[in-house]
Amino acid sequence: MFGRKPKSILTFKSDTINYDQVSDLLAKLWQLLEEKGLENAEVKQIYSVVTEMLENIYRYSDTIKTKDNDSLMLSVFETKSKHYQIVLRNPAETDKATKLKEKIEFVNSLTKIGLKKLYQYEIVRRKDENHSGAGLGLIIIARKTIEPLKIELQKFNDNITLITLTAFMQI
Amino acid sequence: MLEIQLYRMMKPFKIEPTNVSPKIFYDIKKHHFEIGGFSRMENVRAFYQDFFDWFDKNKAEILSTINPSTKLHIELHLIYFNSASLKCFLDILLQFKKLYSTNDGKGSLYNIEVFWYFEEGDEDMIEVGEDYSDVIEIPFTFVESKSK
Repeated sequence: MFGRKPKSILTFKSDTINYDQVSDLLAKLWQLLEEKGLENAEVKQIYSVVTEMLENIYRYSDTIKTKDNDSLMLSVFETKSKHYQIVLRNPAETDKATKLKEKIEFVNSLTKIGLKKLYQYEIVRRKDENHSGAGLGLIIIARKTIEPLKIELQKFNDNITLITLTAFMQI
Repeated sequence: MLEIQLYRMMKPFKIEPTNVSPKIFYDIKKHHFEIGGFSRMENVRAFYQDFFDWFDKNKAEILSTINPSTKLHIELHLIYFNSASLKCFLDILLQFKKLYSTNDGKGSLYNIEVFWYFEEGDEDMIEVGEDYSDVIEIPFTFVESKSK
């Protein structure tokens, strides 16, 4: 799959996360990418996708206890020069996980122009409007990635599913 | 007393930036609004609510300083902002659009000029600005600044 062994540049594993940890991870990511010599605009592309992913798990993830304390997981890999793979895992109620999968399949089905239109619709849409949207964060991620977002669902127990989301980026 | 009230009214709204929150500056007297930096706070809406509350409270006074030739100068110097901030920026721009509009009998004219600053090579930032410009139907001037 990869031309060389993907190199992990940032990893986080835990069963819980607070906003200070989110901020620390993002600050560390920015610093690591800068140290690699990336331009600010390139750093921001990756930072933006990771921010949306981390904020999503901070706000919406369910909390479960696992033996290895790793139900929440974020990994940023450099697969080859300027190619990055971001993997996020989090637990969620099974019906929410299924809905997320449907949203991702919908977002993945859109063309670049379709994504732009959906993005513009979502920034104007108010929360109290009568249906849930695709999720602005998800659209932002999809607009910055080079391949469709990959989602895998794994049953944890009768109510909880582990979601693994993978984004592929080329900067 | 009136002088004190006028002075208070004319005092710019100002929030200093942090590592995760932006600078906000609005000089009513000069009709100059500026926002810049990062916008990635734990509670984005609560952060911007201070500005919206102040804006609502002072709307009448701000309106009293606007005449048909008044033009609002907006500068956006954003480095990074999350999805929740996108909606708040839009709300700010829409509030200004409503306030600084006149009707010449044929339709509304929006007396606003928006300068969208982006770092050299930051195509994503240009795209976000273009999306905003499309949505609020006001042309933006894009200004490139040198990457550090």
